[in-house]
Amino acid sequence: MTLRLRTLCTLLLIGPTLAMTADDIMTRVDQNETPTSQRADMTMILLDSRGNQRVRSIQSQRAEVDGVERSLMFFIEPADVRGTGFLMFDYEDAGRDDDQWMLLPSLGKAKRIASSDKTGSFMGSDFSYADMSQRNLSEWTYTLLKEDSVNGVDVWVIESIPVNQDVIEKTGYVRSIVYVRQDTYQVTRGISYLEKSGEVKLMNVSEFTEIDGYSLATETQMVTQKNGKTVHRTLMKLDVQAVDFEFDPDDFTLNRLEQGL
Amino acid sequence: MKRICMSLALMLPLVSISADEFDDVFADDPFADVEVEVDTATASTRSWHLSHELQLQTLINLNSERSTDIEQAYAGVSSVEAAWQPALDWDMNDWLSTRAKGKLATDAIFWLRPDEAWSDADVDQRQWQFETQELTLQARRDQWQFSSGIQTVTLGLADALSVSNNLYGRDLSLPGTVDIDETQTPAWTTVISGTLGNVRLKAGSVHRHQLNTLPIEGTDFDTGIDSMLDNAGLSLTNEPLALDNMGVFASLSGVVGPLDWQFNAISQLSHSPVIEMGIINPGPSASVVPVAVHYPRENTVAGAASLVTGPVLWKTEAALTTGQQAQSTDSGMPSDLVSFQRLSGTLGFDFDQPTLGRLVAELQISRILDYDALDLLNSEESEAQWALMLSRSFWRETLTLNAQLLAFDLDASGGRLQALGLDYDINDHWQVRARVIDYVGGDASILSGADDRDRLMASVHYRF
Repeated sequence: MTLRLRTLCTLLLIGPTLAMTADDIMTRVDQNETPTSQRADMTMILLDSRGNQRVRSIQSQRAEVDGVERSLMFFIEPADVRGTGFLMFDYEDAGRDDDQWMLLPSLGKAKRIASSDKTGSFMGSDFSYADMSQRNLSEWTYTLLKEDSVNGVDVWVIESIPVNQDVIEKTGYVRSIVYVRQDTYQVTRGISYLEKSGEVKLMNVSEFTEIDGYSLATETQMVTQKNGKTVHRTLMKLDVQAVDFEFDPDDFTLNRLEQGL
Repeated sequence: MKRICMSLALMLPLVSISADEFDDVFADDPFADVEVEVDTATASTRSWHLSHELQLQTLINLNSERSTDIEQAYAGVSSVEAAWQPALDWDMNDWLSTRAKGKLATDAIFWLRPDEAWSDADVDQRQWQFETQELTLQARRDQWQFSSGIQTVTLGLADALSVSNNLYGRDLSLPGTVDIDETQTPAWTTVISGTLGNVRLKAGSVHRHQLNTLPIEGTDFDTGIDSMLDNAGLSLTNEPLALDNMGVFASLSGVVGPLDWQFNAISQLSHSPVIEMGIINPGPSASVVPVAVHYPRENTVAGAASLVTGPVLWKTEAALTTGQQAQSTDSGMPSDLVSFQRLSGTLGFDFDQPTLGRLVAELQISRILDYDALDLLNSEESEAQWALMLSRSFWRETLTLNAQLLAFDLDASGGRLQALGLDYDINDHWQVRARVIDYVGGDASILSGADDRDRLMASVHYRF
């Protein structure tokens, strides 16, 4: 066997992974099959630096309607915000802001919310609105830093840098490191460096659950550190009720939001 | 039931991250030893939800001149209210549900300061009170919903000074103690809503006539209307429950990209009385006194739109109201009641940015049409109000600071009230609130001479 043939065989044996660039990997991540619709109960446990807990329970459902990711959420807990609802249209077009409305049940009124800035905390948690939205591939440049393993699973470690200041202002992040599983092309960990000096967010998917053929992140941790010190933590648990269910597009409208919980 | 069990003992280890050293930051599970007991499933699967709120609230007048018995009574601590607010949601099945919320309260100030000159009306109103804030039965079928009971329906797209949102009377009993956008008083309302294509339809009836809640007779904000009417053998009372006295409304609305639009039509009895004045004892000893109280039926057609551009939501509304009434004059003396039309408009914006906070600014202007020809006794041709609301949350939305300003007339010559507030969520159960309200007196009757009535409002809330 010649050297050239041995090299070719070696390359074939170790698979296509080495040949992949960071852009290839992130494109595969973006192409991962996700349910066309999903209904779930979301619980967030918020812990401050002293360990004081707050709990947010949300009933949520999302679906892709005419190429737009639509989601509808209602607060279950705490009691003082029970029934407060959110309707979001998340557009693939990076240049188009999401549409968002909020239902104030005490007033029986749904009102539009300006949503261009996604750096704000989602319900007081360590997740920002940007974390809850789909990340647009074209807004970041990627560099493959190295390969590693997480809990015995091989991962790629990839650095993401925003392409311009607008993306930084929209997301609040100046740099991210993501860990992508080589077996499923899923992001399993992330380190996000915030524009605010000294702040870093650590994301860790602590549980994936196989549901109807999809591997879904059902338990995610997010930890905020400032100057190396943990200032706040959030554990988000997703209790998935149904995936790929038949939905009526009218279930993701302003009219449905106004009907309430 | 699904439970998350971790132990509280562990605080996260301090982990330092540098640009090139991030491999070890996940070495420890940050939640490994945190004990959390959360009922994740029950909250959304059970068909009913009962919650309670206990509240202790005090009102303190900061700068009373104490020049009258009434001012003496309302100087310093003038209210110590304890309240219980239960709320029940019950989904009887997939399409039928009921909601109920009430408030039972007592004000201990009448026992703590029994010798002050409290008016009977104030004691009746505050010593014990029960209020049904919501009691509705709802039926939902596909995209249509029917709801009847004590509730509020909000029309219009402006937050504070909507010209469309006038279905309900407003609580003006102690200005500034209720947020500007939450002063509507719930009333028995039936509403059906649904969609026709891309257009949302809402129509219904407010069954009971409602008056604005004015300051109680004998309090420091008393406008004197009650005693003036008392002397004439008249009083301010809601019109009785009858078909002729009901309000009706219809609303069409929709969304076109970043634009929300709405058209509203409302017909209802006025929430403010028209007091007809008459002359008694004609001659040298003639006097002008109230002779009747009217609540004319007013008809409003209104349009509203909002447009979102980046972090700003622009809002505008316009309305034409017919059927408003006022008294005309004849040689300077009260004459017949005449009807007139009023054109109103609101402009405003809502700026929302996580770092800077939220700023809402709205200006409302209204004008009586053909004013010069009407020769009205006591009505201004134009009126203006403007409002500013600023809020900013800190510490993961546990601390919220807010400021509000409501001014009458463009130059605020009608008076203004300005408030600074603080809400702090100690945890999911306990909350403390404080608000300082500064009144600046002016031509508006409710703020006439109000400069020395500034209030501090403080409250503690426990929810379970």
